[in-house]
Amino acid sequence: MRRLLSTGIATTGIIVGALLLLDKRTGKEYFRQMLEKHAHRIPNFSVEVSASDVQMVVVRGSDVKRMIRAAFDVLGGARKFIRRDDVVLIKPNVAFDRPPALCATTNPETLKAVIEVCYEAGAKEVIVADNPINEPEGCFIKTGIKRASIEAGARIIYPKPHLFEMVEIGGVALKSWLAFYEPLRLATKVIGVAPVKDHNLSSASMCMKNWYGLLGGTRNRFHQRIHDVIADLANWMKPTLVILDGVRVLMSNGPTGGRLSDVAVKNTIIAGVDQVAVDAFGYTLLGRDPNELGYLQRAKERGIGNPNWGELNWKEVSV
Amino acid sequence: MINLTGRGDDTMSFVHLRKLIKEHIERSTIKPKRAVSKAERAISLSILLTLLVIAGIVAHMGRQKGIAHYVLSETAIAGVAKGTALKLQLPSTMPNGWKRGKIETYNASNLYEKIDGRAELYISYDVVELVCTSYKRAQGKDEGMFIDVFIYDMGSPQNAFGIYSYERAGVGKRLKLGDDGYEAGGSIYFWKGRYYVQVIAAFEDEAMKQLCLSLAKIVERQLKGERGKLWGLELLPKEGLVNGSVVYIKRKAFGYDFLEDVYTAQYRYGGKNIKAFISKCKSASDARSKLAKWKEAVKKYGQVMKSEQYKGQPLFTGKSGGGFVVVFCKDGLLGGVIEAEDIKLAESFAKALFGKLR
Amino acid sequence: MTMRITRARVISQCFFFCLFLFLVLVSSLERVGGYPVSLFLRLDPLVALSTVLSTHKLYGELLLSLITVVLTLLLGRVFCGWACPMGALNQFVGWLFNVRSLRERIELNRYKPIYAVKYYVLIFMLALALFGSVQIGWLDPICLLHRSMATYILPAINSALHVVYVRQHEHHFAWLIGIIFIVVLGLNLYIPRFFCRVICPLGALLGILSRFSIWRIERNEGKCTQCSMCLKSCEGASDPDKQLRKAECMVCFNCLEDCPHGALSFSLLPPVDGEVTNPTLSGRRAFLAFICGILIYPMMRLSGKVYKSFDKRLIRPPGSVPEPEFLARCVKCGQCIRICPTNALQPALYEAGIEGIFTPVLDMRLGYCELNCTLCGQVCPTGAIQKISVEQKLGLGEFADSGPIRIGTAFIDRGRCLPFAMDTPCLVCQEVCPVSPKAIFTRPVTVRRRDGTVVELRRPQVDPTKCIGCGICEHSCPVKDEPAIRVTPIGETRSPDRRLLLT
Repeated sequence: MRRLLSTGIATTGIIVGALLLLDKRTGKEYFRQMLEKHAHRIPNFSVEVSASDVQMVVVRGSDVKRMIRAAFDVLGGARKFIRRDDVVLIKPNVAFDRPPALCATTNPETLKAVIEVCYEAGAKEVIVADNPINEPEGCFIKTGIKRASIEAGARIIYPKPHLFEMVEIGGVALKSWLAFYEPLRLATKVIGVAPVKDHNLSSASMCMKNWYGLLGGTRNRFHQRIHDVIADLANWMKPTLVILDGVRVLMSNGPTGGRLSDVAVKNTIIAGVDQVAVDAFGYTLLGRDPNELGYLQRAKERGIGNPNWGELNWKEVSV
Repeated sequence: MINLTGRGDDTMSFVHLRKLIKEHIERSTIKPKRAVSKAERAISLSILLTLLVIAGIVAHMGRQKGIAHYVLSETAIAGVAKGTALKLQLPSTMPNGWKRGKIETYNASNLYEKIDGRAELYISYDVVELVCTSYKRAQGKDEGMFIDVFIYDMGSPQNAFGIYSYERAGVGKRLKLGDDGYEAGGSIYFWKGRYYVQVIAAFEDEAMKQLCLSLAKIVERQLKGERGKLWGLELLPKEGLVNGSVVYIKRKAFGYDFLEDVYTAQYRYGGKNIKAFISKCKSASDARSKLAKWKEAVKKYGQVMKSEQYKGQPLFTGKSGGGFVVVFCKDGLLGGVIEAEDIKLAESFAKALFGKLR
Repeated sequence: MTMRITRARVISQCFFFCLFLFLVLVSSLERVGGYPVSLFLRLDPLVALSTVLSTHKLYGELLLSLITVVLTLLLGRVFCGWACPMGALNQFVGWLFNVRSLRERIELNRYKPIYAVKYYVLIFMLALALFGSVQIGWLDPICLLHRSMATYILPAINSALHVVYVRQHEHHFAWLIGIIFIVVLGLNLYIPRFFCRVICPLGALLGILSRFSIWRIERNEGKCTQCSMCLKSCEGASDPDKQLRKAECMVCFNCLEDCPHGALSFSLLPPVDGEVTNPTLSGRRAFLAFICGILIYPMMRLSGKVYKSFDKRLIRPPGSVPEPEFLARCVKCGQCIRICPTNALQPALYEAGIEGIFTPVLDMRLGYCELNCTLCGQVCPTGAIQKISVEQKLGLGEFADSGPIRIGTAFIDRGRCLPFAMDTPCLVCQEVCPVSPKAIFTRPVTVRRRDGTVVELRRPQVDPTKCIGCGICEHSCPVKDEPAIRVTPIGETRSPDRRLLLT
């Protein structure tokens, strides 16, 4: 009797199991599903800004800590952008394993100042994340970003493969792409902090190109339509704020730099809510004409932002 | 269950593990124990102690070196010889109530914090370190009087001579100080070995000038270093050379990216002043390619007047930037005349210079 | 709990095994600090002896092996019994899986003539070392264990737990190294500590040195009843029930515990007739092993690959010594492979010929040589990769005259490169090229595409006077299967005969 029962259970179990796991898709359905893989949508991280608010500020000076604070003050105060219980993702440029003096990456002092401002404004947590081109552990250490983040109390999320997921980009060149999703999932506000750099292909790497560091996969294909892609990135990521660090600028041999003679002192920090305008101003620090920068013009045509910063409510201050 | 040993009932399973553990407990509790001598216990314990010591040593070693050991140092980024950090003795007071302030040190990465935009010039000469301080008068009525002492470690004598000669710009009274020095506007400038020193007075004043000179001598006595051979000073012909006019330019000479390692000098020739230059290239083909680039630039922004072979080597004459330029190759050297007013004089001097270079 | 000597030994084995694991785990830029990650290799006298034979010099770090040598000369094979992590692992696997009756265990722990094989292995390998080819790395226990951890076990742990690296590492021939490792461990189910008794050349070397030891296990004939219980847990199979074989005894002291009559003790200078002083070898077979070494050396060295017909994929780490000397130093320990942050270093299969199997080569499709990194040289225990500073690697400061250390040169494949072959802009290679000025420059060209559109392209070209062969261009090239820009060892600083340009 017992044996009959066990045989019966084994038989039904196997048959039921097989039916549950059945895959009756045809080839057509299989490949259709593969192409329409579920992609996440990221929220719009920007805050309400009225026409009377200052949209962009240019700060001249040499003390980055004071300059960052002045930038926030002129834009309406840090509390305008950061509320209590916000989880702020600060996205620096940590792409290469260079020492900070060579200006291929975000200045750790600038990053530290921004993190401190966020915490003072009441942020619940500040996350620092980037998916570097060089090897991540070495990059964060050698650029000084790791020490600056830890000293200021921010948490670093490293780009481990299992933290990447498909994300909808919704652009002209990029529809959806593998992205470093974990920090985006956790964040309620996003601030980009980028240096002004010469770039061999796109002519400059500033705030708009900085979002490249949130993507993964085979990013090396972007270069085939680089200006469209950069505009797509700016269309995809609507940050709370962007901060463009032009205190020391990589004038030549970008984006990797390599000699101190590639670096020039320009003593300027630009911050604002329109990343296109901020990039346009930053381009002048390289001594070049923003009207000739491909991705800025594309962004203007697509209404992503306004490279003519003069038409915005902007201020220039010195500290 | 997996059968690892081929025997029927002894299989690898929880049963087996339980058996192992039981065996072990049996062995330690039930089985009659061997007597353990005091000596054995002592030896065992001391061995365990040694293990602890090894663990301690390993942990200590771990803390000895940090990341800095494995990455690029700040001095290296500036790309120059590792100089020993300059330890100078500067008097804390000078006669007539002068008091010395703090001694500050800067390296190439943060030099701009002290001297702003001028840092770029020093970096182009591969500065390693700046040690500086300021003397101020204690009394109130002498507010604004200062004497600044700047000592630059340029990493090599050629770099030091370069920045010295660049800032000299032909003015000032020659001084016998270090490897060469001068006084201008009440301030003293000199270079010695790989160091370049400025003792700068707030304004021109005889008493302050004497103090500056004393300070300069105090610094000079403490600076060590061989002057070595400066290739340009050896090669430039002495005849007709205007004293104190040699300038060494390390990078981007005359505004051209491809021109490096250049010595310029003023010569008295045919009753006029001629500015000549020589530049060391990596090879003869490198010199020829640089000459070609220069010719292209002159063609674009000026006018190439003549292009010929002189003694089997290329030479061209052109007009650019308001003056005449003559450029020739001599094996691995570039040489010639720039900013000349008289083209015939320039050409004849250039050819004479060609002959005198070895 | 009385601290008997066997308990101390077990604790010691656990300690050294954990120390070994710790040093392997801590080998990354972030954590390495000043930890002596090569400690076990430096203590290993076989590594020291073979490199001394092949290079006629003792690499400074390896002086530490004198500690092991002196301890062995005094006490016997205490390294095998107390410290060797591979020995501890073998012993543990054998203990865990071996289910046998008492009789079987005793029989398995008797000395068997096959245990002489390790001496022939040692002689064979030392003969090769004499000629300048170090092959002990295949079977030296520390090298084998470390290599298996670096290429097989750590990547496996990371794929499950994500705790070892940031980006997943994988290694060529992890399967081969893994199989060798599992087989070595599996053999313990057949005979306990099979590897240690039959194969291990380090054990053989220490066995030979043990003939001079002044302490050994002594059996009191009066108390002994020939019950053979001492063989129950004997690690070395050294016949403590008869004349103790000094070369096999691993000084584990298990026999002292197991003897029910207390007939065994560890004595100073006991009588010589109670021991077999020298290892039991057949002189003829030993000679044969030596002859094999002599015969095989020219076979391996003169099959191409080392001198003129070097493989285009043989790119060695920066700071490596020239190839013939490299093969005389590298013990295939895999430390450099473990610490390389970009996963570039891989065990070679045939790129360097037979001798070079498992020596480190860079594979630019898996990684590249990070510019500001010299970690591989810092951990190499034999100086096959010299310790260089980052300044020396980049040619800065006092090294400005000698220039950067190049490991190769990049070549562009115009048939695959996008701007050349496919009328499509790219230039990723130039973007990531880390030197300043960049080693890749461009020439502009205007092209009418097939669909009629006109596009201005910039086509990359390599400047061989600037290229250091780091390989990040090859690594980043979007033509993923066979990159359109590839690095070969041409122009590497360490080999004057592999230069391309005259000046």
